[in-house]
Amino acid sequence: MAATPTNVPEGYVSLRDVFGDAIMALGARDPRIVMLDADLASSTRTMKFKKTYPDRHYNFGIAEQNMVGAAAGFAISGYIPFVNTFASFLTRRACDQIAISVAYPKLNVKFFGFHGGINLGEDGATQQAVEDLAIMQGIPGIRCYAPIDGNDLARVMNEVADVEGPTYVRLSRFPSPLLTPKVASADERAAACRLLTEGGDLLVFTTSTLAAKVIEAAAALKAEGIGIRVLGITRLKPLGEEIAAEAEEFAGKSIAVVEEHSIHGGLADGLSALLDGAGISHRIERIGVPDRFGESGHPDALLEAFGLAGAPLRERLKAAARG
Amino acid sequence: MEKLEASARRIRAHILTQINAAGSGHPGGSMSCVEILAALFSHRAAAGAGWFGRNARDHVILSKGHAAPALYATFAEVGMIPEAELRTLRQLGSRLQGHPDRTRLPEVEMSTGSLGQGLSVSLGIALALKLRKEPFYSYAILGDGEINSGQIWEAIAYAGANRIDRLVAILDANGIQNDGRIEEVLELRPYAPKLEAFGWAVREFDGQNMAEVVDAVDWASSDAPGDKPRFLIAHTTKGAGVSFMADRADWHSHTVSDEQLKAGLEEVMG
Repeated sequence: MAATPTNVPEGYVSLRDVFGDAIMALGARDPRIVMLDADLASSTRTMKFKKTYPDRHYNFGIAEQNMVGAAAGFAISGYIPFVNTFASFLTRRACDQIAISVAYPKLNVKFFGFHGGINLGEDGATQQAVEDLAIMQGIPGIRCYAPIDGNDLARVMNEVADVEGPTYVRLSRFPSPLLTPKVASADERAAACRLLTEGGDLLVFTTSTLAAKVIEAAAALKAEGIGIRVLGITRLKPLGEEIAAEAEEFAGKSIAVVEEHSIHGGLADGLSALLDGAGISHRIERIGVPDRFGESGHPDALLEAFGLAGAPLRERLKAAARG
Repeated sequence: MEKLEASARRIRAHILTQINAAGSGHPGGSMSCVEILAALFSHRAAAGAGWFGRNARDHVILSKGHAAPALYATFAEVGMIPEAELRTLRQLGSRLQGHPDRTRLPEVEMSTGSLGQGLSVSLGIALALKLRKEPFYSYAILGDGEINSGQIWEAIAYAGANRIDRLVAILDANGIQNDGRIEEVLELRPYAPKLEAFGWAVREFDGQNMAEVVDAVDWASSDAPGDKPRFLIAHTTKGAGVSFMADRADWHSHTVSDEQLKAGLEEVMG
């Protein structure tokens, strides 16, 4: 497991900008990669790819089901389609196509869900995705990732381009702090589990760019004498086996999962299943989106209102640490 | 043509035998697309053992996946799978799933069964053929109930607007869907003007007349229609070839009893 600094040395980076750069590098390396969009190419940062490789970019219009089906056709033909749109429209609108036209025949299609979670903010519930990971993890055979920062996404991009079979990567919209080291080489892959802060009172698993908010809360609680060990999970399915050993070290103490996703079908459920399978007794404090849709608001205000950042998150973690 | 017609008779016999052995299945919509499958696999692709393994070839997706017995029967007819395997249809562990599964039977171009999805996949293959500038075609066999699905019309819109001339949709227009006649469920006829308005080249013909089907497939697989996607409307009869099945909605999903098998085989093989 890689240890990483907890401060933010190099400012903030937007995952979609990292995505835009990564597809240029991957596209140059592998001529089989084709880019598929659904009238959101400006949001998904594929315009530069389109300009450089006009033959390998396809805009299907606002027709996600057809886009996913066409991706299956490309994959059958030996291409590696990258399917790009908002997480909400991809997973909710084209769920059956993802399941039956891609996952069931085990085709090599790469899905990218932009603006996952509620941090899209003002646009509100229709464009936000609190259930994308539940949908994608529920479909057999899809590897699911929620990178915790820009560097982490760069590793994920290397990984999904190399592994055979369907993958889903959830991205966040706004620039977020760099929490992990720069990518060392094009071979480097995402860590199964990454130590973000050290502490002995509470073990917290978190995922996606929400990790930065959890680290902020942990730093504030440290000043109050509460030590929180934060582990970042990038690959949600399959979860790394070593994660069970991490939890075992905290046997008898509290474990919390903090995620910008429904408490149903996200990291908490995946972790619970992993620990059950490993025979590790546990109690998980589920800090996520309860059984409700998102809503409009400034992203920071919204995350606080949902108890996923700022003082509300600190209070929930403090309560969990006290058991 | 006589060889193709004899081939179609054997495919029909295989369909009846399979569904009888399985105890369930979709005979009506399998029987109506027999000439289409025979024309594609025996005539156009001249498929045989080994054909499927080639990279450079035509691609055929049976989007109306419930007609799987017709697809498997055609595979057996052209030597792509052993004839004896047909009796395993729908049995536990069989490669011949109730709806086609390409992970179990690699000769299946695409897993289908959730209706409305195959045309988009054929579109993706056609785009790949164009990208590689290959002289082959991507065919999708659709049901007239299936085209109720919105995804079909997304694919029709895209292919028409972008002039995807390697794509050929073949509609098995047997006039009956699960719950009854097309006009009782969702009437989408007339098809041709709608498709032409979307930029497709359209041809209508008798889908049970082998010569007409072959002629239409040859036309669609040529430069004649110009730089447009091609839509073949095959007017067919559900349950074609067996008098007690023909044009009857209740034969959409139905078992074939031993007596019905005997009577059916007599009619089909003559």
